[in-house]
This record gives sequence, C-alpha cells and structure tokens, in this order.
Amino acid sequence: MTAVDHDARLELAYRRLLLAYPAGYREDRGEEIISTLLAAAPPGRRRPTITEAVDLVYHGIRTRARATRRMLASPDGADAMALAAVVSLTVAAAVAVAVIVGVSLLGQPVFYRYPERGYPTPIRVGVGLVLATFPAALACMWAARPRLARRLAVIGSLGTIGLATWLTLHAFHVQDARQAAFEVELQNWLNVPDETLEPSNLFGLVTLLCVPSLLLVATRSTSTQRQRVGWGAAPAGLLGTAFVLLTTTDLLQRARLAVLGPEGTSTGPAPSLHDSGLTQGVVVALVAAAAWGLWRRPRSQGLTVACALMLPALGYTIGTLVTPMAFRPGWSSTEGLAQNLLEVVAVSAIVATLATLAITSGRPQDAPER
Amino acid sequence: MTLREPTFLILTSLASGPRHGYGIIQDIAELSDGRMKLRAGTLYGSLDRLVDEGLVVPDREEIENGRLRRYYRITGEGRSALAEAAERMASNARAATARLKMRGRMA
Repeated sequence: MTAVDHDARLELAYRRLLLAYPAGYREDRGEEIISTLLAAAPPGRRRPTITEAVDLVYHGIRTRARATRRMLASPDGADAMALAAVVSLTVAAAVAVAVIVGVSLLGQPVFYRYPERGYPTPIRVGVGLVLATFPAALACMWAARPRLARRLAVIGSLGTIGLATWLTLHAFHVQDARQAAFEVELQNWLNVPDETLEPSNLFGLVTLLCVPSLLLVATRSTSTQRQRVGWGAAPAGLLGTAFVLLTTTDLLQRARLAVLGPEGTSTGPAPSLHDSGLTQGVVVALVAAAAWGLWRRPRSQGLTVACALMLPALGYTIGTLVTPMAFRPGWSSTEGLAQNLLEVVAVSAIVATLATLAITSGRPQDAPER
Repeated sequence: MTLREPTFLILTSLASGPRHGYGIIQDIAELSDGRMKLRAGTLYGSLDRLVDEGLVVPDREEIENGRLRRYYRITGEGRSALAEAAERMASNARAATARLKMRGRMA
C-alpha cells in the first residue's frame, strides 16, 4: 500500500468521525478540520488514534448540543416544539397500530374489553369532528392559508378539551358503579360491563393524537420549516386517524371474530396503551418540551397556549397511572405504579432522543456553529 | 474572565500573529515544551467559543497543497482578556512562591 493510499484511508476515517458534528457545521468547517487533522498526523498513519476519535466524537456531540440549545432559545424554538410534537406523535401512532396488528395476528386476548355494539354515536361523532379538524387545518396550511389553519386548530383543540371533560366525568361515574358492583358481588365483578369506561382510554389517545397535531398547525412555523413539519405530521396524522377509526368502530372486533372465533375475543389481561406507559411517556415528553420552550421564551403566546392544551392530557396521564389498578385483581399492589413510572421514564427518554435527533440533524438552515 | 488552559494557550499563540489550526497546534506544543498536545476537536471547540465571545476572528483563507487553511487573528478584546488572565496567573504564582518560601523558612 502506497503513502497516497494511506493518506486516503486516513482521510476517509477522519471524515467518518466528523459525522458526529452537525451537517451545517461540517459543510462550513469540515475541510478546514480535515486539513488540520491530516497535517498533524505523522507520516504512514493509517487510522486515527483512539484519543483522536474520542476527541472528535465528544466535541461533535457537544457541538450538536450547542446547536440544539441555540435553536430552542431562538425564534425558531416554536418550530422545534412542533417538530418534537411530530416525532412524539409518530412514535405514539406507530406503536398504537403495531400493538393492534400484533395482538390481532398473534391471537392474544383482546386488546381490551370491547363493547359488542361499538361506541355510542355521540362519542363517534365527537371523535370524528375533532379528528376532522386536523387534516382540514393541515390542508389549509399547505394551501398557504395559515390564519384559517390556526382557527381550525383552536376549534379542534377546544373540541378535544370539551370531549375530554365529558368523557372523564362519565368515567368517574362508571368507576363508582363498578366499585359498588365489586363490593356487592365479588365473584362476578369482572362481568360488569365496563365498555363505558373505555371512552376514557379512548379520550387519552384522542388527546394525544389530536392535540399535538393541532398544536403543530397552530404554531407559527416559518415558511422554510412549514413543508418539513407538514410532511412529518402527515404520516403521524394518518396512523393516528387509522388507529382511532379502528378502535371507535367495530371493524376490528368483527375481523377478530371472523379470524379467531369467540374464544379469541374473551377478556383477559388488558394490554392497552395506557398499560404500556406509552401515552404517559408521550405526554410527559410533550409537557416537558412545552415547559422548556416556555421557560426559554416566557412571552411566547403560542407556547402558553400549547401548555394549556396539554393540561387535559396531563390530567389523563395522572389518572391512568392510578385508576387501572382499581379494576384488576391485586389492584392494591403498588408494583403496577412503579412499572408504569419506569416505563414513562423509558419512553420519555426515547421520545426526547428522537426529537433531539430530528431537530439537530435535519435542518437545512442549520447555521454553522462558531 | 477566567480562561481555561487550552483557551489561554490559543490566545497566547495568536498574540504573535494570525495562525491556522495546525499552526496553533504546533505553536502550543512548543510553548508548553511538548506538555500540551491540543487535539483538533478541542482546538476547534475552543476556537468556536472564542469567536462567539469576540476574542478571536477568522482572518483569511488559503489553499495549501489543495487543502483549505483558515487563519485566525486575536482581537483587541482578546488581547485584553489574555493580558488580564496572564496578570492573574502571575499574581497567583507570586503568591504561591511566597508561601512556599515562607514554609521553607519555618521548617
């Protein structure tokens, strides 16, 4: 191997290590750093030393972190919030669909106790209206009608809050009824219909899937960011809509009946999303992102509204951490709570990591750090 | 303003005139008698901060053997910060030396 080959190999290795830096920074400073690295390398060296590699990766990550901090503190912080919402939403929707498909294919006990006749009409209509505001607002945004998009977003958000309030009150009523049934007839308490409780779970998902989306379009995105954010929101909205349609109609139940027979629809352990801690994790991540943004930009009206919109979701989250235990054998055990909390932390970390990666690596106008 | 050692040495190196990245690394190795070997990641991280704080500015760019070399120059503010840090370090060094001498006499 010639000296030229050695140099080329070493340069390639350095360029790979520079991937730790943000793309914008590499574009501006990459050649300069490569030049310095090659000049400092002794003749005949084929690959970077370990200390060089650690030094470059460490400072690359620090540069990315600094770029993220700057962006969150800048007027584009709102866009970062929106992007974080998209990432959270995509994760939530993808996992939701994966759970449904997986449970159906594997023939496990039903997703959760499902009403034979589907959800009451008012719930379907309410969910449908709330859901409809998202694609409508998104379409307005793409059609360069941001003002109308924001109005639709506000209407949809208020609708979600109203739906949330009604369903939550309804769920509390059902809790009382079930508790009474449990105390009176211990052996048969599982047979007490609980389908009326499920709208509470449904509400959480609707809130999680809709509010961030609405918040997304309500955010005053810059023109350069609008298209990127819109494309990110589209699959999330699609998955979320598909999920809610599946769970609010009896399509899924009919399919399961046809494939698995009545045994496959028996009630069993309820692997619903709130059990997985996913919804809590997403809510915690979103609220944390909003709080962080608000702290950095205390006078931002958009972020203040964002925080207000997330409060019902946060309430739901706290509720789902506690109430599921009241409807299961062994409900007094605290293991479920600890597990939920652990999962919240894990999911929050994943969502936050994804959001950070999305924010720091994909921005075309990622200004070079100096 | 407190300067960390790499930052202090970078400013010291630039105090005698503009230099490019590799030139700074070489100069610092000489200044510190080979004790301090600055890595490229650390160098450019420090330069970023110094440029942000207005202590250093990019001076010019040159192509040498097909490679880009960007020169950096210390600013007036950078000279003041370096002078202040040097004075503080000298004062600390004097104090430390005096205490050591005092301890030596007592012993």
